[in-house]
Amino acid sequence: MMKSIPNLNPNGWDEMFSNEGVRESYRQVLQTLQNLNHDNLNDKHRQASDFFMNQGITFTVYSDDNQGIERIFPFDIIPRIITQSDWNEVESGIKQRLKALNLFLEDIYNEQHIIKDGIIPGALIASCPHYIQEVHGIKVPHNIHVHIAGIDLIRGAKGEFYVLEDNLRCPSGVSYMLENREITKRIFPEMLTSNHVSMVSNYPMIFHNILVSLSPRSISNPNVVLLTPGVYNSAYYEHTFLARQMGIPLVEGRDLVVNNNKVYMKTTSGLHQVDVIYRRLDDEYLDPLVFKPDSTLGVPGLISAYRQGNVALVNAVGNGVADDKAVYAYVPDMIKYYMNEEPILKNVPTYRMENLDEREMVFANMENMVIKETNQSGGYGMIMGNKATQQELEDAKIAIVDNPRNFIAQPIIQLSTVPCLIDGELKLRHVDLRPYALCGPNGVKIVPGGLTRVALTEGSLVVNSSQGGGSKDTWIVK
Amino acid sequence: MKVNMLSRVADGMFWLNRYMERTDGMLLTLNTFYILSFDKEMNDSQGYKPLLEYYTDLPMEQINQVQYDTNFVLKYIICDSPNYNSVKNLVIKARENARGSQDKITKELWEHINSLYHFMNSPDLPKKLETSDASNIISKLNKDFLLYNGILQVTMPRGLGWCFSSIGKHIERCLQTISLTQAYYAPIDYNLDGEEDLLYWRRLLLSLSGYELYLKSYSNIPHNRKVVQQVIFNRDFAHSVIYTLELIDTYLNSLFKDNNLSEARTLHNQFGRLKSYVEFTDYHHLTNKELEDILNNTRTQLIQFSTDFSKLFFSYT
Repeated sequence: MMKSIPNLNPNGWDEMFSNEGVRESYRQVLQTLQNLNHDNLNDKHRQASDFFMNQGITFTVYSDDNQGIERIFPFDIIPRIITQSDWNEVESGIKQRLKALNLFLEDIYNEQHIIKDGIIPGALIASCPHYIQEVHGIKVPHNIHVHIAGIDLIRGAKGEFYVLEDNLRCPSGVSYMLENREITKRIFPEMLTSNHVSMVSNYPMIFHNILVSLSPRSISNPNVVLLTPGVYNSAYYEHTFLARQMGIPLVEGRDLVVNNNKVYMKTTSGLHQVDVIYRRLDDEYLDPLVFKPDSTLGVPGLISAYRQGNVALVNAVGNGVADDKAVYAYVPDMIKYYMNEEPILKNVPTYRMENLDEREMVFANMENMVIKETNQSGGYGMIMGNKATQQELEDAKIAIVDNPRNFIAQPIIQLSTVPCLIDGELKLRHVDLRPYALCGPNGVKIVPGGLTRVALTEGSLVVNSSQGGGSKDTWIVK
Repeated sequence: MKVNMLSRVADGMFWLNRYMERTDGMLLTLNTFYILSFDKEMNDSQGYKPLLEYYTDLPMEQINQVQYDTNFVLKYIICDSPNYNSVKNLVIKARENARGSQDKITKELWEHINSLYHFMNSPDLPKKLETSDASNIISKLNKDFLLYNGILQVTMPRGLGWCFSSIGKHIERCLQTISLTQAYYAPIDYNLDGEEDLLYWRRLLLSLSGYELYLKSYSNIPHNRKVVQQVIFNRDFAHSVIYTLELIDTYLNSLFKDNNLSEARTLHNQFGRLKSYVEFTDYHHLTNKELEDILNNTRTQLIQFSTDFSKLFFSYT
């Protein structure tokens, strides 16, 4: 096993090592790892892979002969550790941010004071493809629009946290947070105990309580369901996992019907009214009568029932306007405007390409910038200036000039690194962190942990699973 | 507390268990024929024919060509992709249904089906079936299906899902028993007074897991009428027609307990007539023609019942 410190990036932050050696929070973990030989580590790695494969936590890759091969999302067995004091900052920063984002959504779909007061340009909102005019004026239970959020965080060169992205529509990955912990319990039980790692397994209970509290009907046992696009969706495992953990039915659009502005599910003993829908379906697929008419994934009439207040949707419809990458730049202003507070967590500096000065500055420094399409996610529609060819950069410039609203630019930030077990050795790889925040009538709750996504290719800063990323268990240690 | 079940999920659980039961029965038959194929002295006039006739849609001409070809049969039955009824394809279909009802089946059951799926899709399986590993593979699969039934029994809650699962399972089992029985009585013109020896009937009885029970219950020749008694009318035999019909009836009673729909009453009566037909047949005085009729009619009526049952409970699209 590794006896020396891997080569550290002098311009970056490593979570396990500083220039002086191993950080205190990682001391025990490193010691345990150093006491294991190659075979031990490979056995644990294999055990983790088998666990994911047997659980069906897989995605399908199709070969030339159209034979599907199931693959797991890579899991690195070495945990990522965050100290309690760092976590406290993350937790309070996310709570503050989510309160502001909820206030923004309530405002933007009602009176729009933030536009009238000149804080955010009206044109920016009007041009946002995820601003849903059809839900303007709809009252949502307890004025909560974002019930579950995945906030992507990165750490800068000095270990400071930045918010990279807000995911306020259908954030995925929470099952990995929970399953990663389950596998760690099996492969490193003694390490978990001795490090006093905070529990994450109560997430489904907290979430279920919030879902029940949103029921429009005042009944003791409201009917809460999870709406999935179906078995071919890449996140289907997560949908089944959460439905099972919360003990709620997993429904598809074809299982639901709207009658007299009420939503019912088709059961073996007839129709039964549905009160709350945790939907894992994007806005545009929810209701073919309002959005995509050719989609069969949703439920005709659902938005009408929602408008009447007969069913609660989680998350609310239209949240995409708040996690648009161009609107992201205004979140610190929202915090100041709605809460009269300074943001606890910083944004990554973001340049709007509609602004000519900012655009020129970006064009002059393309190799130091990451260019992102504002309506894309999952690592798609992104150009890393330091990796792109000259031709790709020129093409990007043309596309930006053609439709500047569609792009933002950010300086390339060296994400922090964490050692990963690669080919039997510890090697540094870049990571981000997605904690999951839950908002209910009693405030915001964040389970101490999150999904650490890791870019497994050496030097890569792209952590998305769709781009070859993996994940790690994330420990908050006291 | 009354628990509802989505029609789609009930459909999924019904078919999950039909597919698993079909595969279980097919593997048991395959294993029986495979092991007996090593007894060279045996007067085997059928080879794998009953298996191929019931479980595949190969034309009779081809069945006649391959009925003694163990290598072909093993690969065709276990892992042939174009064969819609191969073990591989049935497990894929079972897993699809399990995925669709994953929130209503237990984690243990899901994991078992999932690991079976991965085994059936391992790329080297067809090659292994050409080697001496074939015997181990069939044994492993037989055990996996026994384990499936054990996990189902031990972990699944006894609610609506259990009723739909059990009805699907026993419809499939009953149809398999009838078809395999026909495969052995048709060649001898349903002759209940014939003198086929135990070696002839052993293949059928082993395929239905009923050989040992038969030996313990009926020791004297002639066998032709006694085998009928075992596979159709013996209430202690878990694969007999009457046993499976009684279980279906039990679960139907649970489903219909609080259901006052006239369609439900009609379906219940329909099944009652089917069960009574078998139950009140006097097998001591059964004629050859009556045996042929009872097998044909029960099969036809059960298939019709399955269709009507699906229409009543699973019409969700």
